[in-house]
Amino acid sequence: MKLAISATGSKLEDLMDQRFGRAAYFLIVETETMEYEAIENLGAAAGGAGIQTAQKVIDQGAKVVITGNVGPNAMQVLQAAGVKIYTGNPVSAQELVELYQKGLLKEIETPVAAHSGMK
Amino acid sequence: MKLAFLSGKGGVGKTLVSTNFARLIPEAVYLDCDVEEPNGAIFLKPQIEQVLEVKVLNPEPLLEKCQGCRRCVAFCKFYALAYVGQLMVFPELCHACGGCWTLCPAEALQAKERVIGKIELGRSGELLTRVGLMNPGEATGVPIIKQLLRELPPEKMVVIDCPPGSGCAVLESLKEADFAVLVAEPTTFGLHDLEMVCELVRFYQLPAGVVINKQTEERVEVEAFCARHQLPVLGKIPYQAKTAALYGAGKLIVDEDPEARQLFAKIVETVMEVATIETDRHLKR
Repeated sequence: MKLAISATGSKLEDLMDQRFGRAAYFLIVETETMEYEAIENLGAAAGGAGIQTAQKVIDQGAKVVITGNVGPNAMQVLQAAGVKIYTGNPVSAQELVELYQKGLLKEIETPVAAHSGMK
Repeated sequence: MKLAFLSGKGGVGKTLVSTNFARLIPEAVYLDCDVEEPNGAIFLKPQIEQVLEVKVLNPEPLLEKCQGCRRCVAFCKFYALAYVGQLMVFPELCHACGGCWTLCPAEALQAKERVIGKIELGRSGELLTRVGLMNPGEATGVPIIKQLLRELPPEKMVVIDCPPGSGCAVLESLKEADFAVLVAEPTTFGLHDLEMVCELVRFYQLPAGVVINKQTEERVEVEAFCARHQLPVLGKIPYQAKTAALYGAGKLIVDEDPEARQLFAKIVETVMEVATIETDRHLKR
């Protein structure tokens, strides 16, 4: 199964990015093999970053997202696609995958306020 | 003659200058194009005679017709559409360009009216007022500004109070203007943003002059800038506590302070003179 982790860099050792829509990178991790691909999140300059990023992550085939905060629009898109969202602390992506596999991450179903990632 | 009052930086005194200016011109029209935070009415206290709704056309998906081709999603530069097995529309991000339903091969998107704000038409003494108000959370006030500028009485002087900045809403507010009054304050930020709007009006070849607000003797950088760029200084409003106190109390300074009235009468005279010369010269070019 594919996981998408918002990350501050392009490697599994890099820390999670607290922002979803405006995360620097997404690491798309295949949990069975731990193979991963990094995609740079060259997002929207003004508005719509959450929607655009959610679309991108869904198009990559991710069924689970691990991130810090998700805004209302992104949440709506992810939920419509049946993607589950987990929140973690800003530790390394590698660590988050392990925590997810042990069932230690919290699932979230409510968004933070719009534009939280712009502050 | 249509005059646009703009500044780049916020809080410089666009509304102070434009409302007091308008008050001294009998039978002018005052337009508040700062639709995100219109505050001209605080000072002019118009009696509202009519309220008009401002509507835009947004896409409404007809899910049973959608074939999932994603042309609309790829086209929208504002990410107002997403396709995740079903088409989703986010109207508050839509800029109402109509591209999505024009491109849709399956006629799965139809145009639907949505109210994004209103315009209050009023009267403050002899002065006619038009105030645009955008609903909170909307992506853009441009459609409201477009409607504000429609059907202006050609024989009247029009005072356009622009939004701050130098973005889309400001460009829209300038479209009908014959002359730009750049309101500037002599601070580092004030000068920086004056440079931006100066570049903007030059790009549109709109003749312009500068009113310096909060003028003090020691800060001369704005005047130096005007001299360097052949921008006429149309007036200077001194930095003083009584002006701030009257403004803070929601008063027009020309109504309360005889000195300010004299100062603004002079500014009106200078603006009219310079604007007439500059627009004539501009027309001959």
